[in-house]
Amino acid sequence: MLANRIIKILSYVSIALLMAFFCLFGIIILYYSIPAIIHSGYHFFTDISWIPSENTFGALSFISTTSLSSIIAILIAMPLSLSIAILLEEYYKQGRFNKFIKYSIDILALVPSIIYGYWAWYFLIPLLEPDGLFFGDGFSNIMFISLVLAIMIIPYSASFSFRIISRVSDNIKDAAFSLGASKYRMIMNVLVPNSAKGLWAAMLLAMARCIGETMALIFILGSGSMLFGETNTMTTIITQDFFHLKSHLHLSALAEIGLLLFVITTMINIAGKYIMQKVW
Amino acid sequence: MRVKTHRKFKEYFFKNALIVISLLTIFSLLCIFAHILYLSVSSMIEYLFIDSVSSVVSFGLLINGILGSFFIILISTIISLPLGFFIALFQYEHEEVSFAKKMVSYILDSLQAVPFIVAGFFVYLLFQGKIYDFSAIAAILALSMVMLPLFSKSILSSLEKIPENLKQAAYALGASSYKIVFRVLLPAAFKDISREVLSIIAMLSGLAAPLFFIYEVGKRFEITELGVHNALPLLAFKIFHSGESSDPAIWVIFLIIILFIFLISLFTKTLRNNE
Repeated sequence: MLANRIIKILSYVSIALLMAFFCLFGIIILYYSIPAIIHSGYHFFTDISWIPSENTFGALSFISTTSLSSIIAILIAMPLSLSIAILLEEYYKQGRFNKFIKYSIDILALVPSIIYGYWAWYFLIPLLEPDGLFFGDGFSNIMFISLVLAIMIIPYSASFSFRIISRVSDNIKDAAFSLGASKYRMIMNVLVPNSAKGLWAAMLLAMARCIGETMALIFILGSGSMLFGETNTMTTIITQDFFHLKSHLHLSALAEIGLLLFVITTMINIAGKYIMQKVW
Repeated sequence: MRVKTHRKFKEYFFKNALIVISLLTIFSLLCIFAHILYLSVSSMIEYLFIDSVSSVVSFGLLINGILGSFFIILISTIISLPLGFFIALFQYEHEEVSFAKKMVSYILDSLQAVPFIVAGFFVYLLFQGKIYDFSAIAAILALSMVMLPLFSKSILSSLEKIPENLKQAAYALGASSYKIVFRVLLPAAFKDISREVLSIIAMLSGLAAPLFFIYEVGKRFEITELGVHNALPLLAFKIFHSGESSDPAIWVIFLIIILFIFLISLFTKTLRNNE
């Protein structure tokens, strides 16, 4: 029948377009990264000097800032998200309190990161740094970046953690209770271990989100504020240097950072999804 | 006796610690959100009603931004939704795990993993040098790239929720694939798909990163003869980057985005409650 054929053709055309687009994406990013890859080699990952005017492109400081701030943000956000998820699943499973918290988390998760970033610049920095004493060294810069990322990621990881916690079978919990376990014991010895894989996956997916985050940090790091000195993440250095390109090699170095970001977030996402498939 | 008391104490301490930590977290986040709303609403009042407050953003430019956001999201949705639907249909119809299905799944996962800023950067590199003429198309392409894997995955999960016996019954009655898709699957999954699509649109309405590189170089961002030059989140960043970092119009823009997200969220909740 003609209509059936049309549906099939449209499906295959869509798949073909998807594959072509993906290949185009890979080719373009690689094509623009290659000059910088050839020029810098492995020094791109080991040097901390990023001096575009001298064609020196060492991205180690950005890679380490990104990694550290993401890890610290996850370490702050995950326990808090997990406690919200456990509270809703085990202690307040139904009722208005449950509905209110879930709805609040859903709304907070939808707030764009640009708003959190601007709020941090507008309110949090003047609050913490009235006299120019708090920031300036690497540690406090990274802690502040982590705080902003954690604020952004808590609702996202809370709703994810809740889905994972609620997947644990009631039979296992009832079995623990029938053996005389208290609620605390059931949570620590049954619920959390049984949902550990899923929680790892949630952590990885939240981390991928932190690593790729730009707009939450661009107001803080990209405003040229002297508060944060030379601190930059992989995403903010792309946005900052984009407006001050010195050479084609400079653009190529930014493309290489983009490629690195894509590779890291893809690997993390695939690892997270692989673990989720094992769980579900 | 001692053991019982010790156990009770542990239980009591754990439960209350959980409540305190959770409530403090939620309360802090809600306070941040309330503060953002307060700043937005007070800036809106200043912007609209207080003459002494100056802003580099005229009301017309704000409308420009709203229309720009609306058109970019609308056209990106028109492009990526049908594509996402047919990709999801392909995955749904191919129940056995084939190489093609695995490949499609891998590509969608990879595209979903692309950081938004890298998506925008890729589009800039694609149009490099010609961006003045293609800035609107570039913005739409960047947003479509972000939307496509999200739409495809959510439509697939909605189709998979449909009971298998519904499809089998349609086959048993001699329905063709075309009829099954448009008379059985789509109507059954329509509400779920609509909710998911609207949630994705709400989530992406405040996205600035994919459009970031269109700013500055894309001075001709015209989509219609109305001369639409902007998207709301991009306009906020432009104002900030131009040196007017405390302009009240920035908060007004954020308020518009938050209201839009809130309205869509309310609408999807109503759809869910009506089912």
